[in-house]
Amino acid sequence: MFNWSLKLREQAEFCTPQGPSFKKAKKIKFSINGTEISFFAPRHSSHFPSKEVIQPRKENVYDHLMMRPYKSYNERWLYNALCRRSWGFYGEWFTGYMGELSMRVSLVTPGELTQTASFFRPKAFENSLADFLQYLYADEIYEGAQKWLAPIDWTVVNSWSCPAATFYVRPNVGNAESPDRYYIFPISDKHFIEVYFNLHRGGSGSQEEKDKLISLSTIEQLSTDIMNSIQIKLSPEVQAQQAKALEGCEDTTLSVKFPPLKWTTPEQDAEYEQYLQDEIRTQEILNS
Amino acid sequence: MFNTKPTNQVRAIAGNHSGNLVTCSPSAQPIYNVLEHKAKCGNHWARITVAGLQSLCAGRMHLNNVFIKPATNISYGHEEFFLILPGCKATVEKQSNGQFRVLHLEADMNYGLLQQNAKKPGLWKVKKEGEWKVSDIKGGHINNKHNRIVAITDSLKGAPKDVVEASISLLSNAPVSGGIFTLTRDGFDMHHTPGARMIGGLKNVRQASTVERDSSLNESALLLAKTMYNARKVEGVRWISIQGGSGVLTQAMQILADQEITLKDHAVQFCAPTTNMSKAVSLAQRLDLSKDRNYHSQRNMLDLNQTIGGGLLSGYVVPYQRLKNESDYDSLKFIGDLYRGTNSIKVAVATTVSIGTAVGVFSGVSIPAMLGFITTTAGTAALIPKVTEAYAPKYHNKIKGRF
Repeated sequence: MFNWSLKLREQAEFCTPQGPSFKKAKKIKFSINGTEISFFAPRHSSHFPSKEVIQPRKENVYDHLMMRPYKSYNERWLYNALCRRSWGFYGEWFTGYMGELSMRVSLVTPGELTQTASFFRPKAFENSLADFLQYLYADEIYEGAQKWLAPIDWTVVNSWSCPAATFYVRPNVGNAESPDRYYIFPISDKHFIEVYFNLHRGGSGSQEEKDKLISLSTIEQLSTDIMNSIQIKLSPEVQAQQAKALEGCEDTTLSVKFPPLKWTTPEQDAEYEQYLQDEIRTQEILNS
Repeated sequence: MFNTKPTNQVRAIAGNHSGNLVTCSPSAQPIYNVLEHKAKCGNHWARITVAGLQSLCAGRMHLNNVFIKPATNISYGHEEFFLILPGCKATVEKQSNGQFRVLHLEADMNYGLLQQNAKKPGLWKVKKEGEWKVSDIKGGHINNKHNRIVAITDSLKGAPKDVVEASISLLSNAPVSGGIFTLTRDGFDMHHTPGARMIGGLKNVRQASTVERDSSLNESALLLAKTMYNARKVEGVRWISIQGGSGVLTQAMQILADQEITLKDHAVQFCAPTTNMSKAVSLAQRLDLSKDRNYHSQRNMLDLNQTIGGGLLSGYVVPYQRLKNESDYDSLKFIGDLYRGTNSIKVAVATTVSIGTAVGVFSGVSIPAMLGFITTTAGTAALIPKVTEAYAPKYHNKIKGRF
């Protein structure tokens, strides 16, 4: 109760911020080339007026969507945001803004086709996903250590006729950024849907420090609720595409385990080792 | 016991060969050693701090107006003062023989980590990859691209990502930033100063008016000054301050101006500034920084933080400063700016008439009618410029361009 955006005092103790209630969530439904996707989500209520909102069009066609690269200088993966919403989370009694959950549902496709295998083939999909994660997260390095760990808590979702999975991307050493969460599934031979969440908490400090002040549970719960409400209905054409792709393929499910990917080179590992040694040495000088 | 000469153990930090000798007290020595070690390992903030301490050998006069504040009264020729450097607060004693002695060092050895966690001022890279993503930049070097945009944000308590969200609309509306397309395509760099409250503004008038000397901004300003110095050879960098960020930028410009550094190829703009504008403009002129038509952008005089913090009379002082110092700033622009300044504090009518008659007499044009081109006025007065814009755009732009 009384979780308002107005801030009049500093919060001192641990708090669990409150956001919009999932009970009031309305159904969002749209289709891409006949494949129907729906889920429940509350109304957009971001703390920041500058946050973008996109209401999905009822019907979408691949060829008419403008696909843009995630990174302006590297067009390996292209996306189009179909739906975008964010929800502010607030602390108790005038302690104000505490965090924000941002959601983006987008259609993703590789910029150039490096492999010809269909995304409906589990192994091919996993390979593409590894490349996708590397594209998005591998660039950032801290003293030779990768700043992001992905995927973490890989869980296969078996409810749908297409392969689907959820996972987290979590910050590693030297990274104070908030974790990301994904729900992904292919909807054609070369397109997949990415449901992306950013579990952001305000204030300064690393994620561990924030854990002591602000609970992530409510923010995470809303993302879980939305994920659980996702419904996928593949169109007959896509089902035919899938059946064709799986012809002669024995393994039709995604791997149960997908450990975090390693992107650093041996030289970078050595650099990180050196950095740790230096830190120990600094402590020694300081203590001597 | 009464021997006050430095013992052999005390090593000179600087000034062994020339200048004033700078030494360390035994308690401060180990901390200084660690700082030096960190600096040699290429730690950016430690390098600035060590260089700051060593620069004492050249006396303290050149540092005077930026990051020194006296600690205790002068007695027997001794003088104690604080030196505030990134990650380190030093208590320094000036002895009667002109030597300096570092008495005490309070250092955050994990300053780099604190910067990463946005607890200390630092430089951040901001890019849009689906969402706005931020990552800290070590070493205080902005991206070497041409025309890089660097936003200097207000002191806000919050994660850098939230600061980006809060500043992006002001930043994208500043003429020199190139708008949201440029920002999303190329990304930008951000100098973020964590803090509990805004810099300057209505509540901190004292800070706003003497921002170039405010000690609470020393640390951030020194880091920004170093970043600006590092970037001096990069072409076309645009330094854009957001709200109270103008305070940090003003102080950083002061540090650079004291060292006679100029940034000829760079541009500056203050978005919705809440600190003294006349000082900021005069410093920007000293650094040879370019500007758009105006130094400021999106200045709203109804916002008391900006009116009071920015200096009540800056609407008049700044045009006057520019008329005096800038060759491309003519009397028509001067009148235009005076009119804008006046209009914004809502005493438009009287000045319109007086300036209008004053100018009208010698130039032979009906100025009050033309002033409508400068700011949007309500009612029928707005009609004439709008009609001109629609039916005689060339004529309209010609008049507008003069102001």
